[in-house]
Formats: sequence, structure tokens, C-alpha cells
Amino acid sequence: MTGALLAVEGLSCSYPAAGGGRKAVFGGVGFSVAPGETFVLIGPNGSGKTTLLNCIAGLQDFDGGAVRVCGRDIGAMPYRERAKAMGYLTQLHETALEYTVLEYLVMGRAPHLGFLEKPGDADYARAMEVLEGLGIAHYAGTPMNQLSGGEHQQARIGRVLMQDARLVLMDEPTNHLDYGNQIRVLKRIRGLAGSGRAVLMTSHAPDHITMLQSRVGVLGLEDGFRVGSPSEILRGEVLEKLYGAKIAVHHVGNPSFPVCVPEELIQ
Amino acid sequence: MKPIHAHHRRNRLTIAGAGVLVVVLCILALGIGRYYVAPGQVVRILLGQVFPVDATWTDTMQTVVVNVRLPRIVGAVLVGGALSLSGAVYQGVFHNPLVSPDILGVSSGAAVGASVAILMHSGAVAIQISALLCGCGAVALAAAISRAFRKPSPMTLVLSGIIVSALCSSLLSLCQYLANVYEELPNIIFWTLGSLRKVTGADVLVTAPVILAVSCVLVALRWRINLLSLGGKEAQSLGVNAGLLRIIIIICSTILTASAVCISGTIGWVGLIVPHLARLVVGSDHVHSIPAAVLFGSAFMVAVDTLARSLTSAEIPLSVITGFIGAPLFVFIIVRRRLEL
Repeated sequence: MTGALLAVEGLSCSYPAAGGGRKAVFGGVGFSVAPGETFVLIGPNGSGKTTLLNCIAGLQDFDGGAVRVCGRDIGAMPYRERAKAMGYLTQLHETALEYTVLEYLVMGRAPHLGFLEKPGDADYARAMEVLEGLGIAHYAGTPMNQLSGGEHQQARIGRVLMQDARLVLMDEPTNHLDYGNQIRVLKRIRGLAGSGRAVLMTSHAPDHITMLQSRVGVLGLEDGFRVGSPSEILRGEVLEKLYGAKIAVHHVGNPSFPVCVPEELIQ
Repeated sequence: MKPIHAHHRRNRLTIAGAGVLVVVLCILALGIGRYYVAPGQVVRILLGQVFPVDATWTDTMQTVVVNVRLPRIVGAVLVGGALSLSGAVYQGVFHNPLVSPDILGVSSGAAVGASVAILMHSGAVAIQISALLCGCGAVALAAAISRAFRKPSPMTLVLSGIIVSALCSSLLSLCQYLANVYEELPNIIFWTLGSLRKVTGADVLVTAPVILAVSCVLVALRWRINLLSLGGKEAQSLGVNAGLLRIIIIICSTILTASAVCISGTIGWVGLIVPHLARLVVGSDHVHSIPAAVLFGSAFMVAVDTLARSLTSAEIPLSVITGFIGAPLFVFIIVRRRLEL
């Protein structure tokens, strides 16, 4: 697919198994993400969502297949070029970062600065603009470890914005967040796509697919990797195979949209 | 924008102030001792070494200030700055506030090297070389052990360093057990407790260029330490060759620590607490905290060494004083910063 910011073809990955040999994580993974598009990866725990993101980010070796970012093979791109093209929000962990939000944001300029260069006034001014856009400018001087989970994630998104990358990878961006913050982060993700970026994210909540109107990649199905539209994937039989639980998909509203309901819990 | 600029300006002023403090402490320290020389006289004597100044001082004063005290005080500046710098760098690279320059076994390895050389009745130069080699050997051993872990990481390196340090302290105990109580043992104790008493001008001239060169590299890379402290994966996703940068920085810090140990023996606490103190004053951004740590470390060491040689008629080992100051200071820092692990 030409014009795609990310193209993944026939990707397979495995890790050394405990008893010798290798255990496959996934195989035959192929999809592409175009500018302005959001693509959500779903799959049960251990299906390799994070591993797939790491392979795409060039942080992990894969066995076969190809990853192309902006048309270039990821293995052939120097670290700095990768970081200019692609930002990566790893999973939100409890961190004891003591940098202020502003100091943290300017770190996003790293791929654009020389080896011995430090961020200058223009970079700090830019960071303030980004913080204002995110509505957290009043936290500029606050240490990262004093922010709540939602504000922390907004600041991390700010750092990716500072990177000027057109492709954004996010590993479970709504993890550990309360419902309101989940909604705010999802709105931000829509905004990223709306500004012409391509977003690839993982999620444990099938409803995110509805909220983001995104295409979906499914890991962990017995018959291999599957790509589909929301209406193709958000079906009771697919979700039951995937998560091993009875999930009904109701269509509500006008125009109607699908909502996942765990049947065993709600009678 | 305004508060940020104010913040940066205040930090620059603090760092400049720390630089002035180091100079003032050095001038005072050059005068303090059994033979007192007034600060004004010290300045005139120092200027007289470079510029034609009317000599208003006696030969004894000049000998005491320039030949006896100056090498020792320059040594204190170098050792304090080097230990604090490598401590600040290690704490950033391993994103762990509890690591210090000796964490990878550098200091204990160097102390073993020195002790073995002392047991073999080697000269001062041989002792230093042996200390340097064994210090670097200990780090190499720690690095090799850390590769045995299934997933080598900065923390496995730290754990391996603790293993190597434990081995070295056993070797050190063995050396002390084997040592002659009257001649060799005091020398070994000197190495393990730290002292600047035996520093000569030649020592300083040999070690200073190494310490200065390596320090320049680390200071130039200081913003990148911010990136590394986010963790290897995050740093790499920001375009940093994290593995390579980490190795460069660890090698530089090892050279720095080993050089400091060559001058003064092992001195505890400095590399652990001074970086915390620097972050308490100027914040966590390494752009400011690294220069602050270097200058605070130099000032601290000059002050401690002056106490060590002038509190009592006999010399007090430096680690004794740094421990007495360091332990309560560390508790204070924990309380002030609400330190998180």
C-alpha cells in the first residue's frame, strides 16, 4: 500500500522456550496504517501485542517479514531517523521520575538535537505551547511523579508531540486510568489522527474500537492474525473465541453503534 | 515562559555561587593548619607564583602554602568533584537513587589492588597502577557476571557489582590478615579509609589531566543522561543508542572513580549524598544537577579534608568524617525530598 506510514508484512516473532527451541509469539502478521488513521490491536493477555509494537519500533528482533515506516525498512533506519518518524508510548508504569513536566517534554526533541546539543529556548517555548494545547500548562514546573495518572499520560502524549513524528505507537494508553481520563486520552488519540498522524495502539477494551472508529488487528486467534473493520470484528462469536467468555454485541443509538456486554455478568 | 527562565537563571546563579564557594574554601584551607597563614597572604602568595608581586611573605609561608598544602587541596578538589560526578552519573544511568560510584566494585577492586601492591612492598607508582588495574578489572568482572542473567539490564549490572564488591572485601580482609601489623597494615588501612595526607604535586599532575578530560566528556553529555534515566527502551525510542551511550558513560565514570581512588584511597558517602544534595538545590535536570554536584563535591571534600587534618593533632581518616556527616545528611535529604524508590 503506497502512502502508508506503516506497513507490516508477514511478520513473525518467537522467543527462546524454557526447554530449548523457540516458541512462536505470532506469525504472518500483516497490515498497514495510513495518515489520519487509527488502528487498534486487540488480543488476550500473552498474545503478543506489546511484542508486536516493540518489533515495529525496532526495539526487538523478529524472525521473518518486514516492517516499513514511511516506506523505509525499519532495520535499515538509524535510531535517530526512527525516532523522527515514529513516537512510542510504552505502557504506563509507576515511575519515580523527578523531572518537571517541562523538562520531561523537551526530551521529546532528542531526535532533532545533535549528540552534544541541549534543548534551547525555542524547544522550551514549543513545549509550553504543547502543554497549553493539552490543557496542562499550569503543571509545567511540577515534578512528573506528583501528577495523577491522567495528567501523567497527557504529559507523555505531549512528549510524543514534541517528537514531530507522524506515526505514533501506544501500548495500552488507557491502562490504569479512570473512566474520565480514558475518555480524554481517547479524544486526544482521535485528535492525533485528525492532525494527519497515524496511530497504532493496543487495547483490552473492544469498545475502544467503536469509540475510535478504527480498523482492528486481532492477535491470538487460532487461525492466525486477522484484520477487519469494527463491524467485522465486534461480533459475539469472534470475541468469545478471543477472550473465552460469552460477550453479546448490542447495537444501540441512532445511527446505531455496537456495545459489548459480558452476558454472564449481566442477565 | 517567564517562570522557566527565572528557574534556569536561579540555577545558573547557584552553580556560579558554588564555584565561588570552592575557590573561597580553597584559599581558607591553604591558610588553615598548624602553621596559620592569613587568607589575604595566601592570595598574594598564589598570585606571586604567576605574576610579579612584591614578596610580603616568608619562605616558610611559601613552602607551607605552595609545596605542602596546595597539592593536597587540589587533590581534594579533584577527588570530591570526581566522586560526586560519577555518583550523579551512575544514579542517572541506573535510574536508582541508591547507587554510588563504588557500586560496580571499582573502589573495592582498587583497594584490593593497592593492598596487594603494599604487601609486595611496591613503590607508590606501582601501588597506583595496581589500584587502577584492579578497579577496572572488578568492573569488567561485574559486567561479565551481569551477562549471565537471562535478561541483562542496568539492575543486573548493579547486582553483579555487589557480588564483586563482596568478593573484594573478603580479599581485602585477607590482605589485612596477612599484613605486617607495624608497616603494611597502616598503609592498607590508609587506602581503605581514605586520606589525602600523602598527595604530592606529582600525583596531582599525573591524575588531573585524566580526571579533567573524562569530566568534560560527562559534563558535555549531561542532558543525554536525562534520556537514559527514562530507561533503555524509552531512550531508544527517542533516537538514543542507549546501549552505546550507557557504556561510554560507565567507562568514563569508572576511570573517574579509579583515578580518585588512586589519589586518596576509597572515601565513602561523597558519591552517594552529594548528588542528592545537588538535586535538592537545583532540581533533577542533569543540565543543572551535574555541574552543581561537581562543585558541591569539591567544596565538601576541601572542607572535610581540612577538618581531617586540623581537628586533632593526628590525622582523622576521611571516611570517618564523611560517614559522620553523610549518614545524618542522607536522612535529612530523605525527609526533605520524600525520596521514592
